[in-house]
Amino acid sequence: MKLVVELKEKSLIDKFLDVDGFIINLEGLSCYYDELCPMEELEEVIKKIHQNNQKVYLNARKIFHENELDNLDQLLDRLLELEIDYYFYGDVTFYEMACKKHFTDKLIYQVNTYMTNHLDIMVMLKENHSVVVSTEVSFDELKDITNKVKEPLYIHSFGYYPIFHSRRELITNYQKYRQIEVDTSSNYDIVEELRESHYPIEQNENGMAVYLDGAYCLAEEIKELGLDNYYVITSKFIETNDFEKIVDIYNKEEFDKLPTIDIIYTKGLLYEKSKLLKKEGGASCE
Amino acid sequence: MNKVELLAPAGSLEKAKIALTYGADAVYVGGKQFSLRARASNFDLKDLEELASFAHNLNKKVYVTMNIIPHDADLDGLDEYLKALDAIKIDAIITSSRYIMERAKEVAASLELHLSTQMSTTTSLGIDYYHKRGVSRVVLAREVTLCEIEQIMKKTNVEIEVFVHGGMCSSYSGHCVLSNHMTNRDANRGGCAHSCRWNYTLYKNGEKQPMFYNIGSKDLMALKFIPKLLDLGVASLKIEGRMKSSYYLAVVIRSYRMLIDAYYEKGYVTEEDLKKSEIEIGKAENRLTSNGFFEGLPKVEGGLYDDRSEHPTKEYIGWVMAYDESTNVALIEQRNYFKVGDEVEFFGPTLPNTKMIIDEIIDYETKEKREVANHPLQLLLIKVPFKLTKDDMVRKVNI
Ligand code: SF4
Repeated sequence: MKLVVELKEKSLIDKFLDVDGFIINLEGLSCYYDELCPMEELEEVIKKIHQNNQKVYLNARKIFHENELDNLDQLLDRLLELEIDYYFYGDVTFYEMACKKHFTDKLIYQVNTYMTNHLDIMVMLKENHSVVVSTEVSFDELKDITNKVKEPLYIHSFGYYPIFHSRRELITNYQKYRQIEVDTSSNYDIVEELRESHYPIEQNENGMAVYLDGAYCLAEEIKELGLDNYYVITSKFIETNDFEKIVDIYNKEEFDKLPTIDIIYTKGLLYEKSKLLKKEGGASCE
Repeated sequence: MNKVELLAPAGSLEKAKIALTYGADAVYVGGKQFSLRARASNFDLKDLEELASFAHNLNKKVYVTMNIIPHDADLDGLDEYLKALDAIKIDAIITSSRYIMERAKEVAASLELHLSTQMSTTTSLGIDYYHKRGVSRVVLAREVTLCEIEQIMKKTNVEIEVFVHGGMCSSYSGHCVLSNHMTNRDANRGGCAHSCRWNYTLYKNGEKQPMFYNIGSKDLMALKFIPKLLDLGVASLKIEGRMKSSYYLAVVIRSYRMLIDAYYEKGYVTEEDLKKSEIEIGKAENRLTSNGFFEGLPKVEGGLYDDRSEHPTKEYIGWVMAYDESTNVALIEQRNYFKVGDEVEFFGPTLPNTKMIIDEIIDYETKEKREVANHPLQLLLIKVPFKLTKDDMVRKVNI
């Protein structure tokens, strides 16, 4: 199985020799990340991964704002001197930059909420190396998408993912409103007053994000989706020990061992098809 | 200088006509398919055709929202729908799907493509990207500050549309699926349950905190930024709220219209102009408002916490259906309770706020006198000593 695994720690490079590649997080570029790789260590990390014949993926999923474009431009010039194989990105600002710098063939489009049908995915495939399928589809829809798109796709198969992302500093603002000490570095989670699930939240330089109430987990389902695809595993909110075991289970396809690791799993919306409602609602947009 | 467009939402044909009558230059509405705001999406093709013809007669425009983030099954019938919109001369579609854009270019070439705010476009490069793919107008993310809008406007010739009023997602639009996971209702397909406005308990390092945690946003009100936005050359100022009442639309649109017109006429607006518009808007709905991102990242004041007053006011009491100049009698359709002796205020697209005391109410059907008007949509005759026009409205003054 082709696994693309978030690089939680440098020491894991030599432990995960069977995975196809590692996702590296970098300040100024990444969003929804676990650990950042210091810029000064990047070259060495890339070299090490390539020595093992594995690929380097960079998390470039930040939403950019106008006053960040010069920095992005300069950062990309530095990165292009290194041998990064692919970039996960979600803001088309990044695509335009890549266009100017001629590396769109290395781009993998990923907005978890957008790529929800095979026709939009096919449009994006024409312009990108590949696409990550949305996590907001049911398993039947996911199967349908992978069947209809005849190219390998990237599929998020394990890990917490964001279900809300605000540019606002929603932890700081709350603490100021309540006149309590401002502290954004502790671990926070929220529980809706009528529900029981705990949703981790986090504030950083990209704003505030709410994550799913457990580690999303495709397991036996992968067999039905086909082994041509790339399966993405992320490490956020997972202890290193557990993460090592998880990657091992995916490598060996021993999914029945997952329950032996004490973490909260969820199937997200895989079997709870979200509905288009006719009666009420509507996000606060057009 | 090109004049800015004031763009208003409408959830029904009646509301769309009110919006255009009260000063909107264009309206955006949802069709039966492909549109967020599921409940507000009640325009069938016949309604859309009537609206397009009504608007075009006034030299105004109609945009149709096709802004869901579609799943495979939602895309059935897409080509036929696009062709139908093209045939009835809809001016543009507002969309977020690259596939819908591609199909529209192919089968409905005269439909303009406007990029929905659902795509959270925040930079000039993002605008370039979509422009190269056929988009003629980009609705900016509401996360873009005024300073950033200024930088963007220097780098693009593409039409830019900016939200100036109404509800705000506290998330980047299109990036929130709280509702999907908490209620199984897809926020990106019209089912948002406004989960960002619910109360949450916060746990810090596993320990329950004593006070509720909230992540919701106050509504946006950008009256004071209108002059700057006009100076920057923004193409369109957008009001949010396809689910809002006719009264709300009339009041909000008229307030922005007056301010925009005053700025074009005088070259400036005074504190008094701004205050007047703000007071007017306050008469339509008591929702808490903020400056959104216009002045930078919203601080504490931008959030919704325990203190909410979100109820529409009961001030709106009637809609003028006709006025007989020979008898000075107005035919009014009742919208909220009022009685003889109440002080009321009439207003309209061209009628300034004008007060009077109700001294007589006559039932239009029975011609009997009434002390109170307490039946919704009841037709009533009221003597009004100044000239009214159809579609003027009346509200209570002291409640
Ligand atoms: S829950 Fe709030 S932020 Fe999320 S889509 Fe709905 S209105 Fe927008």
